[in-house]
Parts: sequence; structure tokens; C-alpha cells
Amino acid sequence: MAEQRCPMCSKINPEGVEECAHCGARLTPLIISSQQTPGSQPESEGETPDWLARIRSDVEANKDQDPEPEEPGDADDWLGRLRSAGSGEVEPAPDPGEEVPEWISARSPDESVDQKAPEWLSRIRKREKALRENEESKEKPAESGDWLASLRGKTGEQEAEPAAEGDWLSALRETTARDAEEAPPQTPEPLQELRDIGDILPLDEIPPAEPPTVEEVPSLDEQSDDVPVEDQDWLAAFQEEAFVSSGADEPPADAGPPDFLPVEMDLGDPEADDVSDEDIFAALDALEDPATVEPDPSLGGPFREIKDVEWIDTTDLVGEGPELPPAYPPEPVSQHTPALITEDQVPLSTGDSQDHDLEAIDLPDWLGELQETGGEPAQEATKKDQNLAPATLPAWLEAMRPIDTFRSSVEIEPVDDQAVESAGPLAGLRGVLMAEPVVAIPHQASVGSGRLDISERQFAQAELLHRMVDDEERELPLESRPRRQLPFVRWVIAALMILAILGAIVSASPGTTSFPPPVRVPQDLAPLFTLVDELPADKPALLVFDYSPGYTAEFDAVASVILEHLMRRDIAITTVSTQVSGPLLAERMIQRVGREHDLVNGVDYIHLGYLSGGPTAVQLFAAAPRESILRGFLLPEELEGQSAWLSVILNDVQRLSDFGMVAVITAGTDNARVWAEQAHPWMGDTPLLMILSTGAEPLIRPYYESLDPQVEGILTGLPEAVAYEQMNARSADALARWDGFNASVLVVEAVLLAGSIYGLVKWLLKPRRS
Amino acid sequence: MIDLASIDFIGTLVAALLTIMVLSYLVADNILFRLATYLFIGVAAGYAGAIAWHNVLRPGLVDPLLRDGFAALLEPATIVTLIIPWALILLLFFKLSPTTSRLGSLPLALLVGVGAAVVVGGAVTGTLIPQSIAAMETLDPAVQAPLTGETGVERLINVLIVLMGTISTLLYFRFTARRKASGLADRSKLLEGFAYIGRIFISITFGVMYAGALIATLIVLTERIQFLWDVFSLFLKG
Repeated sequence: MAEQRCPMCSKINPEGVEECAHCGARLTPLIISSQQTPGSQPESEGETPDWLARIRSDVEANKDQDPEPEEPGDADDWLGRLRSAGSGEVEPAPDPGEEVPEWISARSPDESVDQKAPEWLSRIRKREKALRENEESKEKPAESGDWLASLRGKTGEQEAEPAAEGDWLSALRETTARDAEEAPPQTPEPLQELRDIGDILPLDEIPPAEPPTVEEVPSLDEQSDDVPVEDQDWLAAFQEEAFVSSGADEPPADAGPPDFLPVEMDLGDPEADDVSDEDIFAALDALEDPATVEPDPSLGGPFREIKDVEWIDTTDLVGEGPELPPAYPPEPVSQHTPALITEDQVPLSTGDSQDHDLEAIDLPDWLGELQETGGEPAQEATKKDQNLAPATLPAWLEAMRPIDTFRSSVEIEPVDDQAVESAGPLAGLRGVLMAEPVVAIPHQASVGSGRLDISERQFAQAELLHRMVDDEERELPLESRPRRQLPFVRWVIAALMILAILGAIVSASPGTTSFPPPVRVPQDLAPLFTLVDELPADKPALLVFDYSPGYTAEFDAVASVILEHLMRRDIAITTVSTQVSGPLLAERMIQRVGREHDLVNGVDYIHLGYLSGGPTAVQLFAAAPRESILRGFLLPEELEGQSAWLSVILNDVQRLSDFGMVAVITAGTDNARVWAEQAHPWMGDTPLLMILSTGAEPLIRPYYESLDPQVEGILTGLPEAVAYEQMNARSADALARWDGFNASVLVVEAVLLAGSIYGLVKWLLKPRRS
Repeated sequence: MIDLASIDFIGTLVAALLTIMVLSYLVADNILFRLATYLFIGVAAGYAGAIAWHNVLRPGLVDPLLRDGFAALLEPATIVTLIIPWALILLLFFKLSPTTSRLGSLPLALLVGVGAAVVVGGAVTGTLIPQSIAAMETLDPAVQAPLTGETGVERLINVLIVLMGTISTLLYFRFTARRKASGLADRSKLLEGFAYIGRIFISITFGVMYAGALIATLIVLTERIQFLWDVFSLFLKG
């Protein structure tokens, strides 16, 4: 059974499955499969942007113009020309003042190789041809191509910073720089480009170089002419180091090759003395693709054993070889892993693609010579590594890879076999990594469950929530409102009371009462009457009106008897109130009671007005009456705008004890208690009377009945007021309301009696258990 | 010229009308009752503002400045009576804004603190101590009450009733007790008995207070009905 491996998780999936069962990644391309012909247009071409369509058309046109893949014999052909070039059939050394290297200029533009050359190289060749025709022009043409100029400039910049590189390479660059000053185009641009690539790309992504043609690769003779002998010091140092490591006493005069170089390298050969880093790169090319290099038995160069120069590849490609390491021991050929994997799980072949083939890059002549001299060892190394997959990394290079890099055992297919990207900005390119597993394919949960596992408690809560939602949606039936019953009982009681009061009022004749007045005088009334009756007439009496207007009817009947008694004794009256409405009520009561006494404001009575501040104000007033009240209320005309303390009534009053009596008329227990607490310490011998509402009397009574009473007299309720009037031998408001009050009390007592009987009967008639 | 008798007659008529509007609550809650209620509240508030201005603010804080000018502020005696009150009033205005309300807390703290101190001090010196002494009066029958004139057995019984009512009421409000195993409070039978007596005293006291309030309202009702009858009689007489 055929299987396919997931490119994302590397797990095995059965064939024909589009998505990985483990990670959900797409196993087949989403838009165009790899079997689709490159020239076929996608179905959605009509929706393709113009720029993409143009790119695709260019790709199609290029594919139509592409020649047939280079046959293996082509390599033999250029190698053969390389051999012939090495045998002396080369052109003379170029003028140092020339900008383009010799190996580039030696190429014939009409050769078939030019068809495979990139466009930039073709332009260079054309420009070189034009320069040849005009030999007088030795200056570097600015129009030789921007990329070349930039490369040259970059080369110059890199040459200006030799410290970051190896000594030998720095020395070589310095030499090249000196040559560049004399002849700027001396630096081989392809080599510089290769260095740049090596600096930028990872080692496993460096494309193999295209095998140079005979015209591209100059001979060692030419190269030796270009490189001065004094620039080969680094090689001499290598030779000395190899001598020391070999144990010889002194190095040979001809400076033999070091041990890390191939033992067969004939350093005594003048051609071998000219070996530079470019030569080493050529050896690298031969090592990278040994199949394309045929060994030349005529070459006795230093690359007889190509495996001994593997370190050159690493150090030079990375560009971090300040010092050459000692010779590495030969490593066994291991199982290599491809660097890239196509979606067809085929390892990428570098030899089939120019994009990934170092041989596709035109090499200078000196590098080609190295390649030529190293052909035979490369072939031997190729035989040893026949099981090495194409476009794979050697063991030493694999060992240099970061540990975390992707290692897959899946072989990468050749570039030509890879699918052409049909969509996106990379349309028309081969070997593009699929983006669908990352962005397009929705990742499914690795562990899925179609059954919801819930506990009983969770189920109960869910059921409760369900019931709550159902209850909310349920339409509640309208509750039948109980029929509002008319308050007949309330009406009957009110009617009875009103009729009773009216009957008592209508039936009563003036001066007489239907109900007899109280026969027995209350025990507390006599001391109070005596107290008021014995007050000194030269001292004003202070009346505190601390009740709200709602109690006006009660206090008009109760307090008026005291006020009438005071007026009858011609005692000056001073009023004050801690209630806002108190001064007005005081004025109203005085006007009602004093109607028969012809009282004069400012002479017979005076209003101090409103005392703000509650208990604090009472204490302040008790301590310093003149400082607590500054003006007054309804002052007489002669005191308009002045203080009430300027009146004749208050001339002698400096303290609270200067009043003849202080009577507090209040309906609340709090006001009475405040006055008893705050004012009593400042009263001295001045009596404190309380004219209270009926409901407040029980709580104030303890202040009156103690052995050291704080309140010297209490007058409360209509019965006491009627009794007081009788004692005063004067009928006033209290006696006028006596009949109505008694009638209403009778109705109340009758209602209470009827209610009690009704409740008792109902309780008796209530059926009881057992 | 406006006749004062006419004004009194209109006032009496309005008073009778408002009385009827209030008494209409006997039928049900209606707009007449509410209108009369709102009218009373509005009039009372407006009258209180006017009284506060004319009796407190103007004579205390404005008139000194109008009479003596700002030179009055330079006098040392006005620091307490004029400058500090004005400063406290201005600080109280900061309560209008939430961001500056903390500045207005000073006069409020002063009002609350001083008020509490006065009330507590007065309660201790004017009520707690004198009433405690009164509760510990001698049981000597020979002693005569200065105001009521009680003496002998009558005073002795009255003192015992007051003493029993005070103690039993205080024991009724004693809520601390041990807890039984069943969770109920474990109070002694004697304590339970005194607490029950205290509850009776409390009930009697509240009953008397309620009866006094009812008597007061009966007086008010009688006065209002008599007033309406007088007005009606006035109309009948023309």
C-alpha cells in the first residue's frame, strides 16, 4: 500500500488523502497539482491581476525559448575546452587596465553557451567586445551595468575592511585592492558575487556553480600572470605549517604543500604557486558536483585527493576563515539529508536547476583552472561518494548546520519536477514552499470528541438554566385583582364623629356646655396655677413656641389659658421659637388671646423670633440670650432695623434667669427634653413650665415628679385647660371645644367598644379544632 | 382701599376650602388632598427660607458688613462672629462639587461634632444623672413630693411603681444571655419575669402616648369642624 508522508508532521498518511490525518496539513497542492503543465492557465485566470498575467506570459515565453537541457556531453565539452585552455591554447594575459576579467572577455558571444548565460552576463560580454574594439578606453565604464558597479563598489568596501577576514584572504584582497587602484576591474565579479552569496545564504542553500566553459575558465598561466608572486605568502605559510606538522627539520626550499592540501598538489609547479582563494573555490565546485567534472589525468595539480580540501569549502564559503585549521581527518560518507523538500517528496536535485547549481555561475579562468586541475581527484571522490544523493550536503557541511535546522529524510525532487507556483506573488517560480499548511488550511483539533462529557452537577445546572429560560418565556396569566372594596367602615366612623361633634356644637348654647366640665381638678394644676399667679410682674415671661402649625388647634385651647392668665396679670410676654413657624404661631396666638387686652407690640409683648441651631442654640440662648438672637420678629416701628433687646420689655434681661418664667409649648418630647436639659442649669430660680401635647406628657412627667424637679409645672390636655379656665374664672377656647371634644371621645369609645365586642364574638364563634 | 374685613373673609374662606380639601381624604386619596398637601409644604418651605434670611443670615452676616463695611473684618471681635462663619459658609459651598466636596466636610464636621457634644452632654447632665438620682429616691413614707404633694403610702406606692418600671424596662432590653444547646437564649426565670413586667410597662407607656396623640387629634378635629360650622353659619347669616 502506497503511503505519503506529511510535509508538516512527517507522519505517514495513506495515498490519496488530501489532508494529513494528524495535523490537518494539505498533502496535495491546493490550486495546481504538480502534474499540471506549466503552460496551463488556472481556471481563475480571468480574475488574475494584469501584473500576474504578464509574469505568467513571460514565464511561458521563457520556457518556450529555453533550449533543451544541457546534455552531459556539454560538460565534457567545456571540460575539454578547459583542458585545451590549460594546455596553452589560451589568449594572452589581459591588460590590467581592463575592467572585465579575461575569462569573461574570452567568451564568444555567438557561442551556444551564451544562450544559457544570464542576461547580465551577456551584456557584460557585449560591453567587453566593445571595449576590445576600443582599446584606448581604459577607464571603467559607468554604463557597464549597475549591478556590476555596485558589486565593484562593494568589493572596494570589503577590501577596505580586511581585518574581519583571514590574513591570507586579507592579503589577497589588499593585493587586489592595489591592483584595483591601478586597474579597477581586476576584482573578479563572479567571485565577489559568490562570496556575497556565501555570506547571505545558508550553506545548504548555496546554489552550485555552473561548469564554466573553456572560454570562461582561463588557464593557470594566465592567472599566474595576474597574481604577483609576493601575494602568495599565505601559501608559503601553509607550506611551512605543513612542514612543521610533518616533523621535518626545515621546510624544503620549494615550499611544498601543507598537509591539509592534497598531497599530490605539485607546489613546485609555477602554476601551483599561483593558487589563491579563487582556486580553492574552483576545487569546491569540483567537489560539489563531481559528476560533471571529468578527471584529467594529465593534471598533476594539488587536487588529487579532493577530500583533503573539504575545509576549504567551509571556510571560504562562510567567509570566516581567519586562520586555516589543521588538516581534518577524512570523514566517512554518511547518510545525507536534503535541505529542501518538494511537495512530491522528491529531493531537490541541484544539477537540474540553474537556480541551485553552482556550476551555472560563470567562474573566472583561474577558478576554472583549479577545476581543471582538480578534476581527477574530484572524480575519485565522486566514486567514493556515489551513494551521495544529488544536491545533498556532505557530512562535514551537514555537521556545520545548526542543530535545530529541519532534518527530513524525505528526498527533494529536482527543481524541474517541482510544481510551478500558479498563484500569488511567487507565481511562475518552482520550488516554492507551500503556504497552504500554514495559512490556508484550517487546523483541526488533534483530539476531537463528538460526545460532551458533563457531570451530574453540570447537567443539573444546565437543566436549571433551561427551566429559568422557559419560565422567562412563559406568559404569566393575569392575576385577577380583588375588587376594591369601599371603605365603608372608615366612612361610618368618620360620619359618626363628625355628626357627634356637630351635634354637640349645634346643641350647645353660648356660655353653657352639653357635657359637664371636669369636677375634680387635677393634682398638678393647682401648683401651676399658683406659680403663674405668683409670678413677679416686673419680669417678662418667656414663652417658647416649639410646635408645628398642625398642633395649633390643641395649643390654642391649652396654651391660651396660661397666656390669658399672664395677660390678665399684665406680665410682659416674650416669645421665641426653635421652629421656623414658631414666631408666626406666637403672633397669631397673642393676637387671638390679647384681643380683649389691647396689647401693644414692644410694650406688652415682643417676639425674639427664630432661634436656629437646635440644642446648641438652646444652650447658647440659655447661656447668653443677647448674643444668640440679634434682631427679632415683627418688631414695633420704633425698633425697626434694630434689636428686640432694645425694647422696654427686655431692658433688664441679660440672662435667662432674668425672666420671670419660661414656659415651653411643645408637642414633641425631644423639644421638651432639650429645654429641660440645656436650659435648666441656667434657669436659677426661674421656673420652667411645660405646656405639652397630650401624647408627650408621659415622657416629660419624670422631670416633674422627682424630688429635685427640673420642670416646675406641666399643663397638658383639654381637660386641664378647661379646669384652668374655671380656676381663672374665664371661659376661652378650651371651654368652647369641650362639648365637641367630649362627643368625639364618646364616639371613639363607642367604636372601640364595638370593635372589641366584634372581635370577642368573632373569636368565640371561630370554629376550633377538637 | 382694601378692606381688612374682606381680607379676613377671604382668608377664612380659603382656610375653610383647604380644610375641606384635606378632609376629602376620608373618601379616598384624591387630587384635592394632594394639592392642599403640596401647598402646605411649599408655603412652609418658602416661609422658612424667608425667616432664615430675615432672622438669621441678614442680621448676623450681612448687616455688619453693610453697617461697618469691610473695616468690620479687621476688628478682632468679628473673627468669631463674622469671619469664621463666613469662611464656614464658603467652605460649605464646596459640597456642591464632588471634586471639592472634601473641603466642605470641615463645616459639616464642626456642625456634627458640636451638635453631638451638646446633645450628649445635656443628656448626661440633664437627664441621665438627675433621673438616676430620682429613681434612687428614698422609700421613706414621710418624705413629701415638692410639686405633687404626695406623701405616705401613696408616694411609696408611686415610687415603687416607678422603680419597678425602670428596672423591668432596663432588664427587658438586656439581650445578652447564654446560649443553650438548642440554640435558644438561656435566661433565668427571674430575669424573664422582670423582662415581662418591663414589656408591660413599655406597652402601657406607648398606649398612653398613643391615646394622648389620639386625644390631640380629636381636639384638632373638633376645632376644624367648629370652624367649618362657624363659616357655614356666617354664610347662612349672609
